[in-house]
Amino acid sequence: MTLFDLTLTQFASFLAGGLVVVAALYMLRLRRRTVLVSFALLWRRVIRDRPATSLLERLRRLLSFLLQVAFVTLLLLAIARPRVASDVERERRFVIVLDASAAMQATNDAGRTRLDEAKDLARRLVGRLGETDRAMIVRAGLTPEPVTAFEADRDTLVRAIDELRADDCRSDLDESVAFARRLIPGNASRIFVFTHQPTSDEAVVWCRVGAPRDNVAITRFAARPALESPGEYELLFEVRNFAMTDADVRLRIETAGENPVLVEERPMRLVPGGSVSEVVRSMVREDVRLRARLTAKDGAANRDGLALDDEAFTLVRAPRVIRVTVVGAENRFLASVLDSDPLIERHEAGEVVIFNRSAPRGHPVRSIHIGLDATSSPVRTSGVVRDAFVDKLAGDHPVMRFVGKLGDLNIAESRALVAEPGDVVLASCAGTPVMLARERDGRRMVVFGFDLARSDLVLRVAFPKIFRNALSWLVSGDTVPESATHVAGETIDIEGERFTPRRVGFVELGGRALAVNMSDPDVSNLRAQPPAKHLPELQLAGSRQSVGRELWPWLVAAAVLLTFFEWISYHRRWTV
Amino acid sequence: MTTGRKPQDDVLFDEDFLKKLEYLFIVSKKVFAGQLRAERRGKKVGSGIEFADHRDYTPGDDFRYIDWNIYGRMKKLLLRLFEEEEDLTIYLMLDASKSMTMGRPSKFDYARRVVAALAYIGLANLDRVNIIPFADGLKPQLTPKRGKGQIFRVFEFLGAARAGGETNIETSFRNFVHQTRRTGLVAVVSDFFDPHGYERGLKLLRHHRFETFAVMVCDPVEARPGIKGDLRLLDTETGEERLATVSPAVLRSYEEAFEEYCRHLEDFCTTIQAGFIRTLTSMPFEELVLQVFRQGKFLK
Repeated sequence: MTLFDLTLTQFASFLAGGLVVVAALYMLRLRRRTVLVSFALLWRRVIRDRPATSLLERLRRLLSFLLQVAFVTLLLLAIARPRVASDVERERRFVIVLDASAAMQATNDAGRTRLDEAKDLARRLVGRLGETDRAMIVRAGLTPEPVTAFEADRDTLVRAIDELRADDCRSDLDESVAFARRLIPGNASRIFVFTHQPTSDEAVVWCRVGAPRDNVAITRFAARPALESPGEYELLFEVRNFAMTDADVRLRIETAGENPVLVEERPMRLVPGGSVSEVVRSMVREDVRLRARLTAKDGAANRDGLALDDEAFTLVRAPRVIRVTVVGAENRFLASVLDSDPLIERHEAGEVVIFNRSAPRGHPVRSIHIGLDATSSPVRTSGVVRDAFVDKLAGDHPVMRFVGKLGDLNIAESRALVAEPGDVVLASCAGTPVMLARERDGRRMVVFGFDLARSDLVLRVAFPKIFRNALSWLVSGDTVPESATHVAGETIDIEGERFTPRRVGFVELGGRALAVNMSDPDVSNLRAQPPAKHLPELQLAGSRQSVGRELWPWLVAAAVLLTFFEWISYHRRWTV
Repeated sequence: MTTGRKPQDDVLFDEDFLKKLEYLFIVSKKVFAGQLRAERRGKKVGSGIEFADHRDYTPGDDFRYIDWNIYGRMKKLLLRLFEEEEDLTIYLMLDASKSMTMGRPSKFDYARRVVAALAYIGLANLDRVNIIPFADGLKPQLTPKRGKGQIFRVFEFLGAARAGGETNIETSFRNFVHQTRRTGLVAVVSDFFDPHGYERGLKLLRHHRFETFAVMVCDPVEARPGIKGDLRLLDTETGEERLATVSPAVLRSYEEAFEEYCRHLEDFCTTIQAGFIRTLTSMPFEELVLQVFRQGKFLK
């Protein structure tokens, strides 16, 4: 016999203490019930008063005393959780890894998800654990997440399994398996991985769920401002058929919200493995949230293997109108650029000041300086460059983005600018800076070392783009709005804050709205599925499935029976 | 009619009770026809009409009662004695000690009803009825009454009677015989739980030529207590405490002792030629009264 929760010494001590308490309670002076009698003389004749203080008298109700002793003993034994020694083995530890990737949301023909199947198998596994076994549930998401400690309580484990939900993104199963192996080093066979994914570590036990299914998915959905058409945006969508048969579906794009407005609707027929990818363009006046929804041809819900990829989200931000003040000589080309762009507005007190061949006045926060002379230049110059060709551009700077090479840009004469630490040389001729961008003390400026009239820049297609980029950078730092559409599971850096969305839809982060989509063809392709491997084939590593019954329930039952017996004995007045 | 009785006494002696009394009276007339008379003779020998006996002449006797015929034949002076007719006096001794309050209904209530019934029969027979409560001595008593019309006075008296004090039959009866000149029938309604003993008291009655009839009233719980366990027994009269562990064996012993006590009282009454009847308060009082009649001691 082994006592799990008490040592033999502890058990003996507690039992002795319990018996002392019981005996002491029985030694207490009995509080007698008073009964009025008519004629005590009669009682005096038949009663020989025995002294109530004698030990024998106090233990007179021996039966009751023995019942209490037996009750205390049984209770202590139950607390000690005794077990037959041959049934006992060392505590074993198991790790149950449940894949929580988006693909686990794929359903079978009966409408049950792979995660449901995995949970069923995991629950069965928990039910087969021995009484002394302990198991940990690990959720394999983007990172391994232990959702329980090593628990012996099956209810706790099953509850944790029940509450587990899948993400809308991929999972890093390998990392979770590695995590599990670190938890129980040398016991890989006690790691059970429930997933749809193929085997990556043969040492652990893989329990694969799910079966190949047809699926049609929105694999791309994004919006951006039309680069060449300010005020418009481009909407990109891609739908792919991962089924073995043709798919007739309908893509419906509408604004998100309580009163959706239809933006685009496309019926399409997709061959097996085929896809449709299109870009549509539309005007935008304000920020708008868009939702794409894939339905059956008749508009009913799409009954494919994964509902998650039948929806996608994006949002379009309305471009900002920039107010500009021009100081100095008027330039026709510059005026054309400013006047033709609907997102640029001339203003007497503009937020951006363009000094064209004019000495700067004051210290504007954002400014463009064109055609400098040595006395009025906001940056230091070192002479003049003549008949120069631009041979180097800072193409990765926002001002020069989407501009092209400008390799043959001819400049009749330009001031040779001196770049200071922190300055970005936007264009240079044989190493001499002729354009630069400066950001210092919260002020930004773009400097053209040459007069527009003394170069052929104004004749270039890139000229309006450079100005547009320059204005945008000066105002917000970038000419192209940051992408507002992201993939679930990817890390987003917003002003230093890193965030990894795990659900598709619209999220608010740092006061900014973001759209999150699954957009993962590998996840949507439910045909790429290794055959399932079910639990009956599995063996709990180590030894037998059970380590025998504990005796404590029987002991408690016996104690309860004793209380019943004492109850009866009291009412039958055997013990009083 | 306003009697000034308390509410509980109204319940004790209600209309139903009165009907039962009338029923008892009628039954007693039928059952004991020929024995009952409106007037019954006492034992007193005096100046009546009916010849009773002779006795020797002693100087001072009235010459008119000398039997001169005897003298003519036997030359001996004998005086003729006549039985003097007088009313029968019934003394109803009611135990009003504290022990009579035991039981449900209490023995005292039961005894009061029995006394009331006996008093009614007596009054209806034109006997002189006295009701004398006692405990450790005599308590205020109801002066002799006669005639059925007095029954409400009896009710009123019994209704006002209260039980209390220890029982001392000897003292009570000694006082009774000393203050009572006229002999008669004494019916003692009591539980006879007297730690000093009842024998001397009953003997006193017989010694003073009272026809004695003992009615022992017991509560069923007294006969079979049905108590068990560790108890503190408290005597309701004396306050005497006794710690006892009442086991089934002890209980049996008590029941035997109680039976022995009752039997002893009955034997003693037989010895002194007194009537005796034992009843439990669970028995209807009218049945008890009829049993009393059948004993023949109370009604002759």
